[in-house]
Amino acid sequence: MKTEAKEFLETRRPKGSEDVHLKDYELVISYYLKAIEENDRNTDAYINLGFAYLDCDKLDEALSCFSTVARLEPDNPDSYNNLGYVYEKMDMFDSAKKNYEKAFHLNPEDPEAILNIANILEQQGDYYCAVENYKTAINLSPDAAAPHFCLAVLYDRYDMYDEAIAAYEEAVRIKPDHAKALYNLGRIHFQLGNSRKAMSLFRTVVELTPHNADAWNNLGSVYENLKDFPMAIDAYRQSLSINPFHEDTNYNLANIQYLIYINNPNKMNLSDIVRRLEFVLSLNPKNARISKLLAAINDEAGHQVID
Amino acid sequence: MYREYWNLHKAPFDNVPDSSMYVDCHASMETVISETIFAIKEANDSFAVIIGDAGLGKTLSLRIIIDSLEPHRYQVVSIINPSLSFGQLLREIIGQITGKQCEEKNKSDLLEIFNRLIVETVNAGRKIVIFIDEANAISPANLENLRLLTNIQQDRTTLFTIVLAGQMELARRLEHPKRANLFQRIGTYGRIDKLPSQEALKTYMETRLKLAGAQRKIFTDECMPIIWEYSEQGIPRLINKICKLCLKYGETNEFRIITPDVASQIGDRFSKLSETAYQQRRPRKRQEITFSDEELSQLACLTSDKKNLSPPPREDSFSQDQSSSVPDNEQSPGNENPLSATPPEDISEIIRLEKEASMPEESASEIVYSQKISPVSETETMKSTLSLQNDFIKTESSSEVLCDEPAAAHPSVSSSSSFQLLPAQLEEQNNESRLDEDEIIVAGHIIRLNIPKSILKQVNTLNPDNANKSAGFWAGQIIKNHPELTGAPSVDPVHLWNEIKDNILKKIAS
Repeated sequence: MKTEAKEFLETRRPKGSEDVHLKDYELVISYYLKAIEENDRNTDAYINLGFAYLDCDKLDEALSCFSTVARLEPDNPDSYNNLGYVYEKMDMFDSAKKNYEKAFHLNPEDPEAILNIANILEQQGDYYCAVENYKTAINLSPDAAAPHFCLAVLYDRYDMYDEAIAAYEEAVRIKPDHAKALYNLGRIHFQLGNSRKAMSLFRTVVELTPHNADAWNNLGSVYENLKDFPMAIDAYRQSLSINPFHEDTNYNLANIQYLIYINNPNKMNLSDIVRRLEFVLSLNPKNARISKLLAAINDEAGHQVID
Repeated sequence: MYREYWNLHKAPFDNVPDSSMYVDCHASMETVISETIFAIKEANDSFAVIIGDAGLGKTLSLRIIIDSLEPHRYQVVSIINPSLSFGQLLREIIGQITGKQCEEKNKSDLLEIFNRLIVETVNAGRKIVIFIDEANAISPANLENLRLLTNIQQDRTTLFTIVLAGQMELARRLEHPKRANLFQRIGTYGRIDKLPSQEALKTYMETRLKLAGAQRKIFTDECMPIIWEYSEQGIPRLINKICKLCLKYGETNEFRIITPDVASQIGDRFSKLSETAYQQRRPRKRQEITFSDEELSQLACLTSDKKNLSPPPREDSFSQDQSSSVPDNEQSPGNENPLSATPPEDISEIIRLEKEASMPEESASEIVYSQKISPVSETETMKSTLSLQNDFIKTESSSEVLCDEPAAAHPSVSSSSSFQLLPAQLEEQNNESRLDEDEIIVAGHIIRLNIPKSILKQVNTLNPDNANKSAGFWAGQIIKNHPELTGAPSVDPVHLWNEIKDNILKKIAS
């Protein structure tokens, strides 16, 4: 039982909110509280308790735990990294940054703190400083994929395509199965018109992560761009089988079906297309693209009736 | 690189905030910038407001305004994501003013510190300017708190100015009659719009290209309507994106000029794609727990009250406040450290339940198939997800026995939303005669629609198109609230939605 108990406490708990239930957290929290009651300098228990609170979104309690750890272990950079993370979750970016800076000051060789600082700067919209900090993290840890990927995403967000491609490719060189980097590379290549390259990348992504609805949607868009409509429809359907509510995919599928319908009305049932669009609108009445396509179809249908 | 190809000395359409690339064809932005600077420097207003949708240039405007404030005269505080509690907001502001992390938690102490800092800064010949970006995320209560904060302004001098920048939601909140007091304190109220016309778009593009060193025409005039359309009629961020992609595509394909065909292809492509993937961030890897075996045994010995163990709640009830589940008599009053929470139950029992809970729903159904559990009452279904039923299943409304089919085949699903699903395996005809007036059958489930009668009545008076839309909305809500309905890969939610919608329409008509 002891082994099982350990397993429960150490491996089951930190899975996040996806498949661990609140009841478990209550119990786990009770255990750590008990451990702290036995020894109020048990920093490991405070840390694990803090993580349990984080998972439950009890940020004030988590902050209290990590603050205690920082007080008990003032020279441990991890204490400040964790404290910074909680502040970040609370959207208190300046406080988060100060703690990450403390962590970095205590261990200037550790790329994590500098990566966290860069992330804060990115969220604060300070593009240039964020780039500099990501580059510092890369210099500190050139063989880690994460700093390259984070820098690439920053470039990507600001439409710095060449720089983003280079950074993503570096992340993939370090970690060839980095699905997110491959996916984002595919997005950029597709936008730049390199459809074949994009297709190859998205195919790799769906092999690595077959339940990625976004990747299937993008693969469908590439096929559509290459005028391979059957493959496009197949990819869109794959995406919808994973996430039936995917608005982009529902739009893309309806749009391609409408294109087919325009060329050959016998091949598609217009009411099916309309129904799909109405379905998405019922879930999100503000989807302008869907409204626009629906209006276009209704206009066209109206004209046909008049004609 | 495309810049060399097009003979440009800098990138003309980067979306990074660069005030040197500002083009004065964006009249609304220019007005907002000059008015806000005036509000800070000259008018001594308590509040200045900048409204604008995403991508129109709010952040660039703020940057230009901040850059225009002399550091020896102005102390700038910048809040980027203001969805904080008021205490957190004050701590963040104080932290930025002092350059030190503020640990104070008491609100009145925080206010006192803030007031002291304001006066000290003014005495030092400087003025505090608080910029709050994405201010649409501020809660209504915090808006009121910010107003109260400005009460400390002295009679003749404004000690500090708050600049709120946000999307339209902010305007709606500020213009609400309830916030008339705050609205009266707003000195300037500017709104950034899209570029006003295709002519302005052309000026914008050509000026930026010239600023980047272009010596000749790169986009044909016929591109303008296309870019106008794909940029959603003049959103600068989208214009930059499309133009940059066009330049890069032109370089790859060695075009001499960008034609409407190219612009059209680019616009069409990027509008189809899903979002960029981001790095999943987690805090520092936690340290290994160091409970000794002896400690674990002691913890396990604390076990008690196994009856409290109930099936795990659904994911959608995860955020419920569970503090109420801790009996009051087990809490130590006044003890901040909640060490007195419910004593841990026997860990082997926890592990057993954990294992059961982690099984997929189908497996869980198989397990409960052999159990004999009493029919599910409404209060019970509010607490748990998967109803454990075997011999009989009764409707909540009539307590009638509906079927004797094991529940495993049709798990009953419920939640706290206004819709209740009940399993049904009877022939539809038989069931229909047993339905309450607000129940319908879809895909073998009886769905109870607690749509308010007043709404049904209203819908009944609508024309067919609007009634259809309204029914569609309600059907969408049912599907959204009950992912279990579309859980099987073979289920097409569009058909399901249509079926629910038709049923609602029938119900309304009847």
